[in-house]
Amino acid sequence: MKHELIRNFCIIAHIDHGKSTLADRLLEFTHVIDKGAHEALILDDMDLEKERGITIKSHAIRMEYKHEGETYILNLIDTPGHVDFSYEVSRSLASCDGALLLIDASQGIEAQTMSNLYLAMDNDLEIIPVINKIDLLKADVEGTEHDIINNIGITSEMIFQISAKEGTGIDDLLKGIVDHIPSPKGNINLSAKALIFDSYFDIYRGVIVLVRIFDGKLKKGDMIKFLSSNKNFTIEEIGYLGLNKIETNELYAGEVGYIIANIKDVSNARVGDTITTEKGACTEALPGFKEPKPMVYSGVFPLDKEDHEDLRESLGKLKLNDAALTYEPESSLALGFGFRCGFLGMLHLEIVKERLLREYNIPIIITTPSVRFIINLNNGARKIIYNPVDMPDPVNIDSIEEPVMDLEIIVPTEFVGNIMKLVQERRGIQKNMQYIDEKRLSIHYEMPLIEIIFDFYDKLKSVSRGYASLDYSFKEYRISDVVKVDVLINGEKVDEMSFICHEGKAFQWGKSVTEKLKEVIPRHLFKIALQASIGSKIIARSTINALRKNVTAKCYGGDITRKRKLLERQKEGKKRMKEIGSVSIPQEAFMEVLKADRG
Amino acid sequence: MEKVIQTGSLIKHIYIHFPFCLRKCNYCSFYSERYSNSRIKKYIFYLLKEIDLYKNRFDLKPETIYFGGGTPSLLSSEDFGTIFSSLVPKLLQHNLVPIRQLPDRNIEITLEANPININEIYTEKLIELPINRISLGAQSFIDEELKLLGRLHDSDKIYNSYKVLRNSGYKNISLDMIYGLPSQTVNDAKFSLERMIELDPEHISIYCLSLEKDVPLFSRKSLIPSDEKVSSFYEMIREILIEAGYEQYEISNFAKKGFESKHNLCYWSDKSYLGSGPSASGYINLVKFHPELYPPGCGSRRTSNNENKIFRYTNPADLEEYFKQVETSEVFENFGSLSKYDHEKEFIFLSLRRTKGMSLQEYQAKFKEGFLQKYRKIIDKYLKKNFIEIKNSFIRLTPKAYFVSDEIFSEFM
Repeated sequence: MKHELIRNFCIIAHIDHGKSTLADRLLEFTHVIDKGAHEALILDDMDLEKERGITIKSHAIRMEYKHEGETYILNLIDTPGHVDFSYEVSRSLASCDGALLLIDASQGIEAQTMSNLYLAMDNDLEIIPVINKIDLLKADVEGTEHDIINNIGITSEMIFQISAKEGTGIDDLLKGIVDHIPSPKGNINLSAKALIFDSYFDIYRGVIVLVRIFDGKLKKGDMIKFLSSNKNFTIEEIGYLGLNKIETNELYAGEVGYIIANIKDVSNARVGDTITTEKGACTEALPGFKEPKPMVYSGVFPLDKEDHEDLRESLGKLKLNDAALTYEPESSLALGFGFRCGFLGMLHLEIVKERLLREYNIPIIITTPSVRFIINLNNGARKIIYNPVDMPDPVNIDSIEEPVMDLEIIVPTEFVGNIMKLVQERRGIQKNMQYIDEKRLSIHYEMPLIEIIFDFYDKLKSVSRGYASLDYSFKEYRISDVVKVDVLINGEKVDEMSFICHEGKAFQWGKSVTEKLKEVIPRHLFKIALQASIGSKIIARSTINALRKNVTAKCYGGDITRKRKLLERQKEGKKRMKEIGSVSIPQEAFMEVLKADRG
Repeated sequence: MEKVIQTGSLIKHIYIHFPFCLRKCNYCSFYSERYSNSRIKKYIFYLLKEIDLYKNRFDLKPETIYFGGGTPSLLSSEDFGTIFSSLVPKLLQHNLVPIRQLPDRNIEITLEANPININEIYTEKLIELPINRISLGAQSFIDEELKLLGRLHDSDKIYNSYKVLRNSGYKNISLDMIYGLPSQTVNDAKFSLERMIELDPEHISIYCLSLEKDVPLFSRKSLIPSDEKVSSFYEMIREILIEAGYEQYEISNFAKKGFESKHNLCYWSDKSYLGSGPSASGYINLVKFHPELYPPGCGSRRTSNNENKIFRYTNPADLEEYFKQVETSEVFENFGSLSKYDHEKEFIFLSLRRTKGMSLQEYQAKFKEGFLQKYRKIIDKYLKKNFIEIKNSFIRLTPKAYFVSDEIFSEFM
């Protein structure tokens, strides 16, 4: 395959702007699928993705397109869309040479579009703006075009107008992809160098590695080497991804495809790693590889104690497919046996929770997340804690170090004031600020991670009307005045709700947590005291008054069946709660406390 | 036909739903239609037909009959006459006689009456009928409240109707009151209650307002006093009624000694009852069915030879559909059998609505296990907190549990 005839590209879009529909249409016009086939929304194949409109894992698909007598290979590489996965996005983008910037004509440019667009620009991708949904009555094609020209600095001739739903403009767009996106560079004669942009576990085949070949070639039978994990494998099967895997004997520089090499664990084939052949290996890895490290830790407990073994097994299965997830056993008085799990961030946590529920049918409770703290004890020892419960007695502590992140926020100038205020509240320190263009600023901060994991992303979006984008990476551990705050329900300490925070935030966070609990714990037949404390000192309190009314005034012949069903439902609701002391706590309470407003 | 009627199929309680009103009240979600004379005639025709269907299958020996609605006091005495004559063969055996002759307390026949319909002309004929108990829908004695509720009468009309009923010779009158109205104060509720007590009825029902989404008053829901307040209204009402010599026998019902509504008690005491008329519900417990007479549509009729079976049914809440079902005997297809499991749940929460509570022996006899053993954990918890008590082998709620009773009942589900 001549690499002049290859185009590697992705689609960048905000949720609901029609990415999946456009992908379907491209596949249809290139005859990968039949028109109106039932493989609708091909790229999003996990239920969860479809429902949330987010693409969690990358996928890729190859199309053939005939144009002016030549047959072109178009590789569409899909990208996830959330800050937790910005690393995965960056690796997908690094595999492409161009990107379709898809914008809903009725919505205009939105946050996710912009943050991914900047990533695409960082990777030197050729951008093709595409205005979608031009068939809608409320479509504002002209306004959207104007925005694109202003924001991206592109002339109007370069903008495509389509309706992915109706199939309008798709032919032109395919021509545009061929004409505007450069063919991949790379030298077939150099030693092999391939970038892993995705890997996933298949129960029959082991790990499937998706790669973009930058130099040289890979073929069946090659002994290959993963530069970062330093592991060797033999290629058992190699090919490209159509609707299914299509085996070929080799892949050349510029191509996109898959490799199966009897790899048992995705952590051996990590996204961003470089593959080369063992013989004549290249020594220099492709730039940008990072080992995914859990940043956020939470207790994960089965709602039903009997599910403990199933939970262990399911986490093991998830782990096969999710190198970033870690877990180890943990036990709790109230919640029984569970696991302390490590996640990339809060969305990652949510995804694991949902997958456990949907794919493995295990309802779970997740406890207040924390980060890793380093405790310097008076006796000179250092102790790392992932769980607030493990905090040593304060009298033995010399100092505590917390993780601090490097933060980059890109935001239109009009929101800078709001952002600065928010970041300041979260103990951020501004490092520098620079104009990207006349309208947008890039601001760098240093900020403790614990301030980021609780609703920071949502707050950031809300104070910037969705326009701010965020990226962060670990910087260093720093000594900080953090304290452990306990939560007491009717005088009983609920370990699972303890959290560690900065001393200056303890009062406010304690208050918002007790207020939140007041909202989510139903009234009982007795009064319930909710308290937050540091050691024995109560710093916040709130009370749930006793239930005073839960009665059916009229209950005669016609009301009985309905009444029974209502009572049964009440009972069912109670069953799903956890009993702490004599208080029934809805499982949501454990999650809701972490949604408590942290100011 | 004679041999069909077995001792097991005896039914002593009949509810008759009259689904017509002059105007629907703003809080009411019961089934009713606008008053129409021709519709009422048709309704009576099918009601009698429905009763005939039951007469063929069950042994009706009514000890209570209850005319509810809707507004059954819109029925003329002639209409009542027709209905009673259909039931006459059975009623005669019980020596039922017009009220003016002798109020027979063994057979309780209640008419739910709207004060607006009660006057001397009406009662003059009404007393010829065997109706011996009147449940008068007073609801409130504050005119603004009556207006808010969408009642067609004012408070004067209640006094007047009550006097007319007494003068006509009715010796068993019940008054209904609704409390917890939007913007109501404790003094408002107390005022109406005291006016009621002054009238000295034999029976008083007090209902906490509860609004379904589809009623006009729902829009005022936010003005309903807080749970704390409504709960204190209830406490106040209970205290005053008990002080005035009424005994509470159920969460919402009070009576002078010997005047508890036998009909209402049947709902909470696991007794069989028939419901006739659109939207009416019936409950058939421990009836020995003959397979050939087993109501069609009752599910496993082939397998249940002479077994004790329990059914609930509800007629369609739509006149036309009701007519059709009676015409084709399809009403029996509404019969759904009640599992032993569900029967037990219902038995518990219905029995516990009564202040005398649930008989532990009766529970044991019906379900072949010990209630206290089965629910020890729950019972211990509530005994300790003094929400329930056990006395003379009855388990019952304590008064402070009445207004949170659903919270406790749900534990047994």
